[in-house]
Amino acid sequence: MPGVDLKRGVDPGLGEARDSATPNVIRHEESRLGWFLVLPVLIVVAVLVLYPLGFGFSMSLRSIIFGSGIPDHFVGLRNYQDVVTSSSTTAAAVHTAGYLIGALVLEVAAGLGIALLLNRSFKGRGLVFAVLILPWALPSVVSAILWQRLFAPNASGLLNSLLLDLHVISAPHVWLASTTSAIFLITLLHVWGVIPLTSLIFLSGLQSIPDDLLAASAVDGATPFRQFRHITLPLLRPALAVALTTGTVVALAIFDEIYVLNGAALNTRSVMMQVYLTTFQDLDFGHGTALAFLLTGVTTVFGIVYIRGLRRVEH
Amino acid sequence: MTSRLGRLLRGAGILAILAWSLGPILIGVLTSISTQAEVQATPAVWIPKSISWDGYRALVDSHAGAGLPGGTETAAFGRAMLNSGLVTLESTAVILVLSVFSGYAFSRLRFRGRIVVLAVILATLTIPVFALVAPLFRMMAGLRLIDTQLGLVLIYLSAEAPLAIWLFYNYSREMPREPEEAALMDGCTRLGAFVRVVLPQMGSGIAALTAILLLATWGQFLIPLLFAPTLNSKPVTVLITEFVGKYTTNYPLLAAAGVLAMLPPAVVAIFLNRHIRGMLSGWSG
Amino acid sequence: MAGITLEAVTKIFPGTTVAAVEDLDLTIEDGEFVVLVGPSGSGKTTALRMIAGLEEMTHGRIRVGDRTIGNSPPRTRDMAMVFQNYALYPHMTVRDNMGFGLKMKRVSKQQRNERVERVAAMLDMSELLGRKPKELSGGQRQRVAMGRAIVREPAAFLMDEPLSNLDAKLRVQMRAEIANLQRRVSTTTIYVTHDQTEAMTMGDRVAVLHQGKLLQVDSPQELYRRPSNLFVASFIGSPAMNSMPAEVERCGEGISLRLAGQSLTLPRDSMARFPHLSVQPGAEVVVGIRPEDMQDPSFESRGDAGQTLEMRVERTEMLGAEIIAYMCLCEPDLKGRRAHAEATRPLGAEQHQDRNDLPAIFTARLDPRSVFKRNQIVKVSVAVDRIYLFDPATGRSLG
Repeated sequence: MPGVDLKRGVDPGLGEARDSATPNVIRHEESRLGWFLVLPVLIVVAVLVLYPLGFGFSMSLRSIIFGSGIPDHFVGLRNYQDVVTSSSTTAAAVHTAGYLIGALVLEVAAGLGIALLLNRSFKGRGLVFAVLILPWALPSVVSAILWQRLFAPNASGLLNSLLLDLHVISAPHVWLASTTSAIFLITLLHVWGVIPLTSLIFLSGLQSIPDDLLAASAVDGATPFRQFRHITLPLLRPALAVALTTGTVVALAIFDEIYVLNGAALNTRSVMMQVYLTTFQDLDFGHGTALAFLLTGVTTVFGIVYIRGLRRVEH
Repeated sequence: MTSRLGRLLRGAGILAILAWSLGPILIGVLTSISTQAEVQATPAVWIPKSISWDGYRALVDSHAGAGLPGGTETAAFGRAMLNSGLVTLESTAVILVLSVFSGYAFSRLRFRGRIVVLAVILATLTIPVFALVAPLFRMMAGLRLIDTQLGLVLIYLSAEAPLAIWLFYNYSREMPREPEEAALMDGCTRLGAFVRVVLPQMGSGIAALTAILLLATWGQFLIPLLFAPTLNSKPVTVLITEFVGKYTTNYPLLAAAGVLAMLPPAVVAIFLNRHIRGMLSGWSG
Repeated sequence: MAGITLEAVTKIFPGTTVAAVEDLDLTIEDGEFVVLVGPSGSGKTTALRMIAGLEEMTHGRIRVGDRTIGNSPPRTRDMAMVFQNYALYPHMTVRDNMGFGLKMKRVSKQQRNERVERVAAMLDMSELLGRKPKELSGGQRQRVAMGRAIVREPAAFLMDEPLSNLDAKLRVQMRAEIANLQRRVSTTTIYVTHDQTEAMTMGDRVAVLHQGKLLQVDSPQELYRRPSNLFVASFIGSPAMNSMPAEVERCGEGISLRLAGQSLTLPRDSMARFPHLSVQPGAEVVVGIRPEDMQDPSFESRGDAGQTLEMRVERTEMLGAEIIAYMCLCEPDLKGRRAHAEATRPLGAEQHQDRNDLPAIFTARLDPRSVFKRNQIVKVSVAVDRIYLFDPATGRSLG
């Protein structure tokens, strides 16, 4: 068969774009423009993502401590071994797990609730959306500054003042000094910025459920609760996977809020804070990058688990 | 559930959303116009008796940054706001152009290697920026790009471009193909059809992506904390955190700084909120 | 203006092994209106897109006039396309939409405006020139899409289901309008549709495609009168042709068909009409009878009510000028049992496939005075001289 390029015969295809097997003018023109438009991005990704990734991995296998006078040398996986067994990593991991669990619970509950409330259209919904999105749009350090006076440790702190007035507490609390309350409050601040996104994810999930389906089940006599339980929830699984993945990625990297509210204090240090301190305070790049790569690995595993798990249950 | 009770609950729920979202912002604004005495009063004064501009005045005229590295003569805060604005606009422009072009190309053009390249770029979405911070720091230090706007732009590119490409690729895939094909039939080249017919139709997607990039870049903190040590390039997000250490209990000043730093993203979010919503919903796709 | 010739045009989409379009040979005369018709997946749109240059051929050859246009880009082909959803440029006014092709050809602005205005006047839409597509109704958009094609005075018009997004009434109106316009400008036109009525009413010739293969190209009359195979026979005509397997028997000098225990005797000249018919004992054929060739014997206009089949009336639809009757040709002992369920089954072109094990439902167009009633067992006269016979294995016409 003249003109058939067998190598191009099978192409899994991505999206709906069609491929062809004949090299020709149409394809040539498309191909040239395609590469022309994509090449800059490819260079950017190669130089600014892939190269540093490889460079970072090689750093994680070496002992690199600035100002220590010891020359760099290869240590294999020892950095990883060190950070895994270090007690400061364990503490940071426990704190991060706290942030993560708290954040996911609050984000899913609030996100789902808000999505359900805003699913039906009503007068002024656009305005509510504009307001809803605000906390997400603000830089997290700015949010932390806005919240700071709430958590002030003396009686003029707003939270203390409020709880004293309500006689919930008898003396002002130093909120950020105790691990539990500090982690809870920082989580609260963190989810303030993430819930808008979670809500939009659930909302687009809700809106992809055909109205007919709910109408049909209503005709069949399903109560609103049963409808929600047996139709809405199962169909929200994909949205849940996205919400959990997004929530996990940002929660595992939590840093800004802690930095502003409590600095490097031991009781609230996250893994990310530990990476920052190791790398840029101790200037121990080897251990710092090793910990960063471990965190990356954990993040990726979480993402895979959510997407796989939720897809499997669907079948 | 009666419909009236339902409506009542709904109303309450919506009020709760508004209070939760606006509350902290409102407290910040009120704090920024309080006096030092008011924020230290016991019991707390939530709403100041009169508007005091002390916090803002301290920021604008009092060389609030004096004594900080690089902030000697002019008000450091103004300079940091300017830095934030410039770097945000520059990065947004560069990332926008790259992701619009490549998002379109990946979704519409057939070229050898398309799938591999796209897969590589999407795979980098799973690499959080913190895995790259240390090697990037060494690279930038080697290139003498620490504390420069160019250095920041390059790192934001690394951090934001893959997501922007992914978002715009999804957006572009959803666009109807036919007007482009009509343009090809009408005598356009591929590039001509893209410039004359496809791009003008992408207004809402470009607006949404612009908004998201502006917000993301303005809000960057960890990267400039490391890469922008002086007011040559230091953005407002980093400067503000220095205030926290320096003016620990000067809540009016801190809140005023927070309110000013919040204004640009708030304006973007409010005006482009419909577009942003549309694109963030595509996040899940 | 020019004719278009397709030679062995084939499209195999990557990752598939079945050709979407297979060895398509078709010659379209200069100025001719040819309709490509077929069910979805028949390859008709792919064929059109290859002619347009929007899809590459896997192999084959396309010629326009004396130019061979292999896989050259669309802009070099001088063809205009009307899309199913009109594909107007949303950011341009109607004037700019229509003038865009001319602008690309660097026609001067003044000339462009003159030509756009002339065509707009011809299509009776001069007052729309300043509007944007979103300010237009579906019918108006359709007209603009047509106008955009006409202004360019291309070598050919390619139309991809241009009427399928219109409501039924407008569709009938535009059908006539497009056909008239095409005759006025006499530009070679290839028109794709899945609607056989559209194909029959608009085309000078109609090409029927099925599963990527061209089955028959002919004028509408020929296609209806002499379908080359069972698919064309069932696809063209509404209601569709009835078809059913039967056994052939020699009967003196003539032929007799046994269907479901009953028999029809064909006229004497039938051996000449069906040269490919084999009359071995036990030979099987598929019998095709058009709905209008079955009649209530009381109103048989030709006075020849001799050949009848006994059927059970399942359902009738009074349409005023005629009655559509759905009747079951059942074996005597099967009568009425599975028939009822069957009567509600939709009748499609593919129905012949599972005819063997199900009671056959026949559709007939009866005289409106007919008094056939539901569940009645009736005798139906069959115009045996207009019967069709097909090879049960290949579907090919035996005529």
